[in-house]
Amino acid sequence: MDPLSLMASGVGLIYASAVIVQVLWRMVKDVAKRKNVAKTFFIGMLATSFFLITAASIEYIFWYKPVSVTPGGLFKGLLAVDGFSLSIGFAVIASSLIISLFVVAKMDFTKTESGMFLSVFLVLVASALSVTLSSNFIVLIVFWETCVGAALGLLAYNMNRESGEALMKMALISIMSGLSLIVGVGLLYVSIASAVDKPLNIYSLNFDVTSTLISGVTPPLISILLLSFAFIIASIGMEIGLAPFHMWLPDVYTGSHVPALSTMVLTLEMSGAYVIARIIGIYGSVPLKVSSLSIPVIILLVFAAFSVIVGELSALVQRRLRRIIGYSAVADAGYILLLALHFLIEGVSPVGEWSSYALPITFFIIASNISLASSVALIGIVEEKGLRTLDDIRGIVRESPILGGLLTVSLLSLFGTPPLAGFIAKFFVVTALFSCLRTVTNGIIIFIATLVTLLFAVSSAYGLRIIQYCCVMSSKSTKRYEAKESIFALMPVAILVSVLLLLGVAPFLLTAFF
Amino acid sequence: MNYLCIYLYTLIALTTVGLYGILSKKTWAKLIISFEILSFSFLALLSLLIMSTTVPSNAILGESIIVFLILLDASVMGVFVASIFAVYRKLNAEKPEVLRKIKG
Repeated sequence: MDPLSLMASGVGLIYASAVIVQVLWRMVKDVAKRKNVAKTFFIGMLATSFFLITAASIEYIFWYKPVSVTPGGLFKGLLAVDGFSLSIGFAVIASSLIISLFVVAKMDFTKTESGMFLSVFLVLVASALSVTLSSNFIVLIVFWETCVGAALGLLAYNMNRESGEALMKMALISIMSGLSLIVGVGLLYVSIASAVDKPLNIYSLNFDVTSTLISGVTPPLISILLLSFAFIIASIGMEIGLAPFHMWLPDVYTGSHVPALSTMVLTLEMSGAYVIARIIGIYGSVPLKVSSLSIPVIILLVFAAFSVIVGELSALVQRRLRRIIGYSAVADAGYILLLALHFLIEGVSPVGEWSSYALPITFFIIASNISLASSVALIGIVEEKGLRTLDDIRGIVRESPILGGLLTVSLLSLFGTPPLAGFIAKFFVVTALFSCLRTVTNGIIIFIATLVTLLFAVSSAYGLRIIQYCCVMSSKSTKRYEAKESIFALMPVAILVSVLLLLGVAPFLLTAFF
Repeated sequence: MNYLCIYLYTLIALTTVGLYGILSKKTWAKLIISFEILSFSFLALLSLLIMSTTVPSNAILGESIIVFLILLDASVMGVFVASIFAVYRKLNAEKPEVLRKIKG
């Protein structure tokens, strides 16, 4: 079996498991038995899928790298795997398997809706993996919308006033995003179909074919093409929290049920960042330049710079822990866009043998999302003790060393402190921006690179403030925290934090895919 | 004024009505209707633009893609309506304004 078949088998297995978990949940009525059966099957199927995707990765690395593997026949080019998609797919399944242990530890199995939660969890993971497999706009839309729908389903679990509000805010933004994506893809087809003199088919919307067809679009159709670019970027940008569509994200981070939020970060947000990078690469060949930078690059720079400034500066003035993380996620969306600039300026789509261009963005996506998810999970555990703001967590490391220590390391990575993965990720942002100067010498890029470096200092400032509250300050309250944490809840998060440390000291591990 | 102009003006009016409905956010029902008006005005505009293609088979493929996008839009709307039902049932939130508790 080739890597694509192995990965597709893994994805199919997870979709099938979602149905079987639901059947088992309804068949077994006894709560204790139901808990054991559901847990075993749920984690077992995810682990099996993880092994299949690991096998696909190993096979690709040793026998197929760096070409893109795509099926023949009816599915010609609709699906594909290369270094970029496999590395993100592997990260999604590995982190989902780890976070599933946290989900199971935090789940109340006496509730009827818990069975549905497990099924929706599996659908979300499978859809996120399918997004990384997609190599055609129509296929991508289908899986992306499934992914968004499943994420909404997860947020609906265990609803209270805050999580209900978070759910509705995300639902509103998702419907706007879905509409924007539909219009964007429609406009893309209009511009291509009006520009060519030959009959098109559904395979003309494959990423590689579209990239070639776009280069043949001439004025005035370029205006429609650029409009489609704006709609598609705005659509995915809304989902990953890109400013000015970011207002909902800190609220979702603040209000949502923690296991659902951690899962959403590791699946929807990770695959969304992948999609944005993939699509931006396709528009690299738009033949219109304004003062040595093409119009898509300028659009991208404005969005990215705005996101980074809004995210970092807003995080600086927050007192509630979850909101700080939420605004940090907004800034990360901006950094992801800045990394994708590389593709537009070089005019390269990170597909197949060119996928090595995607190494910096892959590293950033994985490091930032794992940092965000582990921080959210740990803050969730902290909040169970009634600690919500910076003032509440004073001296938490002394009161609860394991929990406080893990939270500190996770936040240090999020704010880009060496030797953790977050530092390497932010280092890649600056190097990618400066490497753009080899192709285009432009003051805007130098200005943005300088701005980003300054904003790293801002992120370190609020990061260090949290560390100061956690580690240096002493607790105001005389109330002692519970010394013992649940090992089953802490262990998965500890694994995620150790991945951050591992990627920080050995970033070359990820280069194996490229 | 030819038929094309009437069609375009109607689409612009529909888009304006849709946007107004979304921004005013009075009730869930009005919000859903506004989203639907907006999405169908956009899709109608797309189907008009597709007629500008030079190869006839490309226009047919384009119309098929539009039909597919309409189906997708309906399923996205289904998830949205399900979310509204869930929130309404659990929190008794009759109007969008009720959900403004999370503060920064």
